[in-house]
Amino acid sequence: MALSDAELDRLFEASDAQAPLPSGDLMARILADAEAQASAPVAPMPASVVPAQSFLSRLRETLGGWGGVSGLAGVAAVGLIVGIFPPVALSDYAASVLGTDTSVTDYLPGLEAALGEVVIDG
Amino acid sequence: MALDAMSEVSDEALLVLYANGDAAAARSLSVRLVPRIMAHAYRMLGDRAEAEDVAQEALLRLWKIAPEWRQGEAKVTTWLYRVTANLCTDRLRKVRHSDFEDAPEVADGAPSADQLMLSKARAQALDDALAALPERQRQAVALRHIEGLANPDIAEVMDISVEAVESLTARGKRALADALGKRRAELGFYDG
Repeated sequence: MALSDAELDRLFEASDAQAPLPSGDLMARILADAEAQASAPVAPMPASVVPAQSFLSRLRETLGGWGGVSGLAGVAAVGLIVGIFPPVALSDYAASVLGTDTSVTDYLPGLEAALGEVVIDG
Repeated sequence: MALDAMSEVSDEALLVLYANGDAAAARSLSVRLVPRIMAHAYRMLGDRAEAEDVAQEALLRLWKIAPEWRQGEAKVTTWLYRVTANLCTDRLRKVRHSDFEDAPEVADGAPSADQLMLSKARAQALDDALAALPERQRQAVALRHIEGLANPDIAEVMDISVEAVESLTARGKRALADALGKRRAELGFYDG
């Protein structure tokens, strides 16, 4: 006849009470391991774990993915085209803002003369 | 920190203390955890020397992972039982044996000689019956009914669902009850 739950529980209790205890030698070995690990220097990550990154992959990482890279490339292309073939409207707008005349303003009118005197004196 | 002052400190906090260079925390954790995982390894392997090796290896892995341990993510006991179970499984796969000839050392206590003999006989009978169970059933039954882990913790240790744990423990317990029922008188059960 099978044991009842209560009888089985008494066997579990007996098994727990009779469980082998760790020896002093085992505890000493475990604590020696703990000490050795505590004083062990942190191992640097092996080179093989850190793959070398190409220029493109670093650029992609910096810009936050391929979306950023394509956006930057598009803007650069537009800038280049505008630089080489400026639209007429842009030239007219630049002229209206910046003007078409040029002039020179001397903010230190006596500087050249003073420098000339120093050279002569020296 | 003194050992007696650590009795209220959680396992997880002790592990963090150890990682921060507190040697007493390692001692306290070892005193707390090694008997439990050693007993579990013994039940799984049936060999004291192998159980000690497994306990040492499991603790070594704990010391190694200590600097990366994040409180609140896992229980140290669950993690350690899981590592212990995996180490036992690895050993069982390598060498299939069930040498229970050497009786385990007994814990100190003050029961009478008769009680002690009966307790030893019951423990031995249970160990024999446990050893005859399929590995997963044995592990689940030992964790639930001897180590006293809750089903969700066992599920985490064994990487299965709680329902699967319930099924394993129920089947394992039934098999134990049937097998040990044949030795009823020898185990001091006369009433049933």
